[in-house]
Amino acid sequence: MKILYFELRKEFIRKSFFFMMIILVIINFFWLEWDYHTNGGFTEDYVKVNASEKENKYYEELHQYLDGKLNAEKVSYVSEEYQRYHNLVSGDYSTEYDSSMHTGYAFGDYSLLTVHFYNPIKYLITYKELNDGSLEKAEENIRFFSDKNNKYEVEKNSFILEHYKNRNPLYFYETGGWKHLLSYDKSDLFILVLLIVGIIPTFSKEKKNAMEIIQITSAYGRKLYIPIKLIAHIFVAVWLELLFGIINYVVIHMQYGLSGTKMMLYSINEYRYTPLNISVIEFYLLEVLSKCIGFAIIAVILTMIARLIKNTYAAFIAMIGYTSVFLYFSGFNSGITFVENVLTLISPFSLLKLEELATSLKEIKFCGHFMTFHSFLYGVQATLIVILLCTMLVIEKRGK
Amino acid sequence: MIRSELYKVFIKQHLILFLFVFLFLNAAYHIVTGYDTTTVIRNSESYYTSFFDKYEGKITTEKTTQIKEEYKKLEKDTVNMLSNKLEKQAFESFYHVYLYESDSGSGYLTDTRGWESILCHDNINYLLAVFVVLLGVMLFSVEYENEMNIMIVSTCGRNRLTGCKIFIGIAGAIISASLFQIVHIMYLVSTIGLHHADYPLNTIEFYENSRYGISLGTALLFKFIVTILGCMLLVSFAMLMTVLLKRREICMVLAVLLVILPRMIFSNSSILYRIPWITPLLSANGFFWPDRYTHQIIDNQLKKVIVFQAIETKTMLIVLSMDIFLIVLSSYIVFGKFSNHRKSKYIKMTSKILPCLLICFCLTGCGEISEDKEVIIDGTLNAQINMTIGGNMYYIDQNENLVYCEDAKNNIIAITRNIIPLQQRITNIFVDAHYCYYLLEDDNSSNIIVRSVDLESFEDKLVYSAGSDNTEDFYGLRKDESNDADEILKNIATVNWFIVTDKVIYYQKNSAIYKCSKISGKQEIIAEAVSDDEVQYLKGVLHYTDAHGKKTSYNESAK
Repeated sequence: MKILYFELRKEFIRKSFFFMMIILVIINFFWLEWDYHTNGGFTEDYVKVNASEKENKYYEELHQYLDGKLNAEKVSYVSEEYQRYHNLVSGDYSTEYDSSMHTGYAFGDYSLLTVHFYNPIKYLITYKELNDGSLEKAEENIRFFSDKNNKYEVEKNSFILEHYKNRNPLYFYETGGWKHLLSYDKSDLFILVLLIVGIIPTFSKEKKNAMEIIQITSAYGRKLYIPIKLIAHIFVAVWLELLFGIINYVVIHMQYGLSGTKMMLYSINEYRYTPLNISVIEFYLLEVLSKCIGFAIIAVILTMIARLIKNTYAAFIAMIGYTSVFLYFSGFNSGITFVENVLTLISPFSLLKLEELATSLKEIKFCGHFMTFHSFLYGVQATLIVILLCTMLVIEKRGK
Repeated sequence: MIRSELYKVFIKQHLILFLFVFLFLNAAYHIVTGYDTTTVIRNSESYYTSFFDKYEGKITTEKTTQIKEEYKKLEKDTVNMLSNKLEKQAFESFYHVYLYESDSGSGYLTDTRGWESILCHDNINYLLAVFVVLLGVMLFSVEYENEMNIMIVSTCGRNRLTGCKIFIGIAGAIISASLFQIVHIMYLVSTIGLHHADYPLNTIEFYENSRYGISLGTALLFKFIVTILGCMLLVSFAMLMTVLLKRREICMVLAVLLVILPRMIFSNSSILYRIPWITPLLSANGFFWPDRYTHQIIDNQLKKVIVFQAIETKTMLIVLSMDIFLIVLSSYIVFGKFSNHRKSKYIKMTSKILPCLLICFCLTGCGEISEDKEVIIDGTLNAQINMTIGGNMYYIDQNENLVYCEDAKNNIIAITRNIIPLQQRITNIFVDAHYCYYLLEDDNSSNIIVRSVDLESFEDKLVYSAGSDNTEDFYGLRKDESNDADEILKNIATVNWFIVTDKVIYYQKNSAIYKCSKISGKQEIIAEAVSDDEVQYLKGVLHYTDAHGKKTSYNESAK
């Protein structure tokens, strides 16, 4: 452990690194605030900070009453209110300020109730029926494809049947905050910046100070020279992701409230076809875990670049180049061709995009068998990293 | 001394190599991304340019008469089926330019695509930015890392040396900014051309409401100079950070962040250009952009919403003056700090306050909400929605977005059996003895996808895809520019029919026949201005009717 601490002291437990980290944490905080005050709030058409006091009061009142498990009373209340407002705005209605209305305007009441309560509740109520229809189709497909001896489709439909059954999302909570938390990715950039800053000088400094020779000629240091650097960088990558993950959660929780942690992921309309049967908080933890693995792999590759390219400037450009190219590759995650799938799979940056991969069922055919894309991605990344580490070890041994 | 400093930076630290590599990448980038144009013009480029060759210059009464006569002539042509369709399309694009120039433009006709490519975008040249950062950091970091700075500051020539370094930094920034921009200009001149630099700026429709009565050439010169100024500011900040922080890795990354963070935060907002900072200078064009609007539906009413507010001349001058002041100030601090002069109270205070100010500049201000544009298209007219093979009728159920087969005994089975709804619409089917092919189209893209279902095992396979759009936005740095009207129309146009052969797929869209290789994925147009008559594919030969009603063939093996 001591050697790990010494390794971390070289580049990471330093004033300059902490200075940068604090600056980036502050920028991240301001960024979240900026998002909340501009695009943020709950949807594009209802930004809480720009809404009037009356609008916010009505919004809060409705949430207080409707949040939690939906029952017949709540559903009939929303339906009746919706019908009442619908009738009101269907005919000639006043567009002037009306103090008797909750928001001050008839259309304001109708719009707020429809967009933020009636439509989401309708989605939750009707989800089970639509989902059951899909499951019936899946059952029929299993029978059909079994007759046709189509193994892949049988596996796929069995997966659907297993993972989409018993879905009945009857818990209503505000989802704007969760959507923002799950899709927020600016902190990934800051983690990348910190990793690049810390990893660039790892080997060049040792060489410059003639420490490399001392370390690789000592009995203990020779074995641990590269592994301990890799472990230190992985440790920092995971630690940074956890730090930013916690900060993002805390800040967004302060802004939005983030109620309903046990709400299922598919309760959010955008994730209606997700294959994951987990709650929103569990998905966030899974996302953080996936990012930890992703950043750990990226840290290993950046370490390899720093090992191969001793010139700091060239290493800096190579790291920026690697980040840009592989980040671009991960952008093909919605692609369907073989090349697009391969590019997405080889990019460790795809692991930072679990949120995009989880919105629907993305599959891959491997040796005639069905596999979900995200689970296959983990397998490919694990294989690639093992190959890369082995290659590095072989090169190092030959070098010695 | 300058020579030895140049040798140290450019040769010993390989900056010259980086310069060549970056210039090469810059040229490659411009060649790959090309110049501004539309699909319609691209398809009928020769016709389009021929109209400009004919009518280029000031719009006179004589030219107006000729253009109107040409318009009438081509209008009549539309009655004659699809003849001269490309020429007509090109003339329509030209006529649009003519109408703009004669009504509210400058009164001059010229092909402005080259000028649009360089004056209507606010992209930052990140290759140039990274190179300038390297230059700034390299100039000072080596001395600190070798601890040579102690030796340097204890000699008599320390002021001269620091002066030399700052001079090389500033001059290097000017030269590199010029070189990178010249490469872009040369590319445009050699491809589309930058003609008539003396024409007013509002010759470009984008600048219709511009408040500046300057010429196109002057606007380009202004952009050129402002970008140079941006590079000078960037290099001076890179040097400043190096002398303050002394660690090159941190300085390089921080300097790049100084450029990209404001861009990510302010995005398209005009607020970016009201801040005396590096990023707006490197974007440059926004300083003389006019007000820009978009239309949004608010409370069931179509309202005009401003998305970019033009920068007032006074504000621009203040911002540019402050930028120049920042260059001088940062160079001064670099000079004082590196030469290790006794710090005056002022320098001490400034060197502490400046980084705080820099962060504040990055974090203050507020921008408009960027709008999402979406075109919702409906309808699959003229599409191949059913086919009968061997007594079985295959058809598309457009409501369910599925393909069904009805046999002679009226038994219906689903051919496509997806549980999760498809993201694209099935618009056409094609059936042969063993497979049922279905073609998918997306309203937001002109790419097609062809999949097949094996009629024995019902195995669903991808046959062809031109590729999806890459969704990576580089944390907000890459902006998807909205499609122009022609692109949107191209997406709306549905495929009329498609045929799948062993190696290729043929399909007709917009009166053109496309050929797509199933192996390489390459797509090409094999015939333009094709009529909607019957198409036949027989023994490797595609028979179709052209716009003049003449039967024409395309032999697959002969090509």
